Amino acid sequence: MSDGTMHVSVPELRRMAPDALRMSGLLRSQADECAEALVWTEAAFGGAISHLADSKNSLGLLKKGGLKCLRSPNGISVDARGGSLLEVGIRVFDFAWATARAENGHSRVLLKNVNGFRFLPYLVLHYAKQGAMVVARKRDAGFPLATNVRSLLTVTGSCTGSRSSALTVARDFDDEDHRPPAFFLEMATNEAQLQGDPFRGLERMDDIDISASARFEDAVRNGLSLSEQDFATISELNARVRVEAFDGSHTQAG
Amino acid sequence: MLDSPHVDTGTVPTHPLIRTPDSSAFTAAMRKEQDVMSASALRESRSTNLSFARSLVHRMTENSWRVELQALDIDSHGQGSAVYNIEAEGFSLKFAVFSHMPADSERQGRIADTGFDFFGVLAEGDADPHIFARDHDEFQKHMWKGRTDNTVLGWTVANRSHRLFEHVVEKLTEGGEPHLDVLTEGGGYLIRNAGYYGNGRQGTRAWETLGPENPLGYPYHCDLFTLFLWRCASFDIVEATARARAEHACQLTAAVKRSLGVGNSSGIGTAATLLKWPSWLSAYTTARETVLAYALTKPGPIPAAVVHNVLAELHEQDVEDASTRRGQEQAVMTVCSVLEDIIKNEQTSALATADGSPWKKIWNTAAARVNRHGQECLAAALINSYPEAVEVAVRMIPRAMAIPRATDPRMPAHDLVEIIETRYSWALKIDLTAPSSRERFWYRSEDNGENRRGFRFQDPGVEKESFVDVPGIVQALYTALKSVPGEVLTGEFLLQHPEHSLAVSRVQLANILPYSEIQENFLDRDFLPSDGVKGFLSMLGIERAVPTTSQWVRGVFFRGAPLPEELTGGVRVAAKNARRELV
Repeated sequence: MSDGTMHVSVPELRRMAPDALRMSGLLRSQADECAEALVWTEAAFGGAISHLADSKNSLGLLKKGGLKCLRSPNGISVDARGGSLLEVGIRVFDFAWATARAENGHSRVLLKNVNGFRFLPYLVLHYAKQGAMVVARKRDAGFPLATNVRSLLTVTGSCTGSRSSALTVARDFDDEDHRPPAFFLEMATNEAQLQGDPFRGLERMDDIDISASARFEDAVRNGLSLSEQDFATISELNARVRVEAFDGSHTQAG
Repeated sequence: MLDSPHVDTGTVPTHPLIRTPDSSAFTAAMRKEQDVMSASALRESRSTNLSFARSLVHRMTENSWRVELQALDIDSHGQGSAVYNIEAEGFSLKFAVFSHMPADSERQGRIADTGFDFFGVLAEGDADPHIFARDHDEFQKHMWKGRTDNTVLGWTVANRSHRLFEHVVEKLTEGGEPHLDVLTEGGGYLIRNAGYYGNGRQGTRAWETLGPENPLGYPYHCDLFTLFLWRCASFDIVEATARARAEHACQLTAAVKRSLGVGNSSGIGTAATLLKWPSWLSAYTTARETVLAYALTKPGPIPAAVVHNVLAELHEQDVEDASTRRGQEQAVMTVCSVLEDIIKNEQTSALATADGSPWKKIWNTAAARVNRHGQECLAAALINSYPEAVEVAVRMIPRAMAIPRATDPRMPAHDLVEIIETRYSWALKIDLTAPSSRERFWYRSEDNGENRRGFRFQDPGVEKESFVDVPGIVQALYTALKSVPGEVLTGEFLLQHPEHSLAVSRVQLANILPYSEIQENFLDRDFLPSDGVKGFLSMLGIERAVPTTSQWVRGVFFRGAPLPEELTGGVRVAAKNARRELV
């Protein structure tokens, strides 16, 4: 198309994404669940597919082994070893959510050395739908409390009460001072537990961007505009799963 | 093969959405998963009134859908175009057909093919004709890389029946009409479906946005409606072709048209679908087994009309089997004999008494005397004889299909172990170290993504194999879980062992959904993909299904279904009654 974009559908991306992720280095076992994170983020915010192209060297780390959690008196930390939230996010959020349920309904996990923050809103919403109260805070705003509230980036999700899902875009999460990116992930079974934590008093940044889900739903209904480059990226990655024809392969068709 | 404690695996969990009566008799009447989810059960599965094609026909007739030919321009070679208007439940649709010059030899209709005899576009509303021309042009130039927009529901392709299309045109041109026996012998169709590509493909509208009120909002109805339209188009195109050759050419009679369906041949990709979507498999199978249990627990006396219907259904299947030459007629006739023996003996007939569950007694008697094929025929006959149960089950299927495969990270490891030991004991028993157990692998070819099955230790591409290995991932998960403390939560386990996340989600889903797994090793040397294909096509509603190889199954859809003019005007020909006219 003349403007360098094309109209694609959400199911089309959903269909291509699992194999594209697998060919990007992700475990086959994670391809389906990570595919939804990829498609939702692309539809709601954009930049997810280009992240695949830009993160060739950081994707696939879980093939080399899982993540280790370190428990200390100060809390729990997980070193993502430079991986992307696209790949490690669901595993870390699953871990934090399980821990919250096991430990009086509240958990706090410091996720260190991670990138791909554009996938944070999807993760928050995904777990909020399961009933989790989720807050993700930049490390500098955590222990001890940050003085510069404006640098705080909060992603909240809630499906309870009258509050609708509220998400902030995490696109500016990268550290200006080039410290290894990290954030605190809090998960709780009810909001009171979050309000009673050391972050009490900080301004909640709810309802900053409630349109992300609406944008995704609109994309499901009407499709989305994708750059030809991004479409080529995901198409080519998807096609890599196909096996070259060889003598006799035609007779193996079914 | 892994060691696991002996556990009772016979209990079928209650589906969270498909409610069944809370009685021990009903629970006992539900068939066990090992009986229903085996390759032999899939091989012998029959279409029922729960099948998606039949529920579509039911909806079309109940709501008097209008399918009308708006324009037709076909030359003596059968080349040209046609447009249909569809009015359904307050929604408008258009279907455009482009008919090409036939190929010199019969086209196979595979996705890897580079040409098709027919191309169709199904669009919403009063679509502008230029959309159809645009999409046809896109397909001609770019095939499956062509693009459209979301006013279009889908593209579909089809091919002529090499045996019948030209034969029927010639007969009509000569002023005669084809003989029913010839049509049956030739496959029972003029056009053979080669695929429907919608739900987002090429930029088409996402099916999920249609909603349940949309006439095509029920699962698979959009896909199958295009098959119904191909059947309509096949009649109009052969008649128009004959008229182009001879002004006074005959037309097909309604009886001949009803005897024809639309052909279909499906390969192993459909079998893989059964594994990819366990919720879908569970939804349909649970609905089917629930209706069967409803029949089996129906208290006596059984009304004579119901008994008559069951016998008629069996007879119909007998004739269908004879037409497919499967050599199974004897099994069906034995089921008929068992029933007839009981009915004739009114003094002792279980059906005439008010005691117990008459059909259950007959089922047990029949099960001891007929093979698996006969049992599945009886099951289908019973299901089709209780429309009130079918109607309820049909409504439940969509919601049950939508249950997601998600991970519950809060579950302790010992719970996962217990689920595997109870719900996957069949998988633990498979010796995956046996040479034959991993002999095959499934993959997608560079030939347009066509699904294929290679030899693991011989062919290239193993590193890209498609997922079909349920026993393998479950055994690996089981072994890993045994190495961690039982109280470890799934979330922590998967943080350290992310390679098991797929297996965990399947196992947790199987914990709440009955009939969600096919209890076979798809990689085994002896597994026949055609069994899975047959099972899936039966869900869709195929008739006269016959495996042509170990990887392909052919058959026909909508044979005996109402004609477009019978959908309206009060001619409420139920699909089953129309089919019986053919018997």
